[in-house]
Amino acid sequence: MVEASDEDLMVAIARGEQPAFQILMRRYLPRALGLARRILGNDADAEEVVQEALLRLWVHAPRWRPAAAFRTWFYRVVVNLCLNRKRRAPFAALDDVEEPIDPGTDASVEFETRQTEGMLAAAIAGLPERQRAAIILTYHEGLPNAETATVLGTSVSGVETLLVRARRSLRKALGPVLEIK
Amino acid sequence: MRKALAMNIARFRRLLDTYGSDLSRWPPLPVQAARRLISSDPVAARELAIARHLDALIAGYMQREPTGTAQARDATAQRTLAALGGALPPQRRHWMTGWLPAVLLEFDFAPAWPRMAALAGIAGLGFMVGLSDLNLPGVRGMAASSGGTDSDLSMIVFDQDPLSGLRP
Repeated sequence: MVEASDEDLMVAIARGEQPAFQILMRRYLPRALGLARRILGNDADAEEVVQEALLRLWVHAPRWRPAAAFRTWFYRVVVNLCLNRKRRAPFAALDDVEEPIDPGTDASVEFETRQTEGMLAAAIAGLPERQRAAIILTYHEGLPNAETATVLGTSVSGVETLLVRARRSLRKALGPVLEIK
Repeated sequence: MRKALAMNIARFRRLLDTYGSDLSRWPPLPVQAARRLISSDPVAARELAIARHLDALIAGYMQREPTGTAQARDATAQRTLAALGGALPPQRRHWMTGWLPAVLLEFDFAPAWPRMAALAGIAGLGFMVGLSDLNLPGVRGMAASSGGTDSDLSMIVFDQDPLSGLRP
């Protein structure tokens, strides 16, 4: 059963088989936590959202129909829950934005890299919700525009518009950092 | 057969913003024209370099682990597994709601309830106004200023043409 497809596991979950749920949960938990963490900006909220998404998966599995790939459907649930949570708490402090660990060794390079990534993190956090979600799904999950459109419940051209606006905002925010020396 | 649009810097920038700097992810039609522009116009080459830099920064940022140790990440995952590993709630199999498509499960209506309440309130108000006659001060004033009464106002709008008998 460990190698069963997501869709086969969903069929088993719909029959109430908990082992199938455990397998699917282990398969998607790290990605879902990473996705939620990127959108929400903190671990505690991400953990709650992913738990809620997985609970919905279990409770509503008997009604699930494979209209789209399971991954797309599940990401859609996670993203919707994240966006709803952000709407409930729209004034989260920008200080909460996570700063990535820098692997550099040289102090000046490390400082410069941290500074650039700090600017980028703040710029991404400052994007409107759906633009940020489109950027995260594209760069974090590597989804093509068509799948991102399904996850966000919009058209491909809608996703393209979100990405155009987001990239322009990020380019503007990073400004001189992007200039070629 | 679709014809490729002429490629210029403005269109090239728009395509970079839409599909990113990896030309292999672009639709096939504009790629050749874009390659020609890149090789002939230094401004286009520079735009591509900037877009590549931006893409690399975003991708690098997204792929790197945020602050916090790997152990903390594992602990989060373990907590989630533990929370959902015990007694799970019963699954929804009710015969009355079983026919609902799963797509409805994706929506969380909770934050929308104030908007729903506002919409219901406006609908109720519209219903009440529709049931009552239009004895509103503004309308009365208009009718009075035109030298008639409320019924005169409706006559202006709905009266039959005296010759043809048709209504406007």
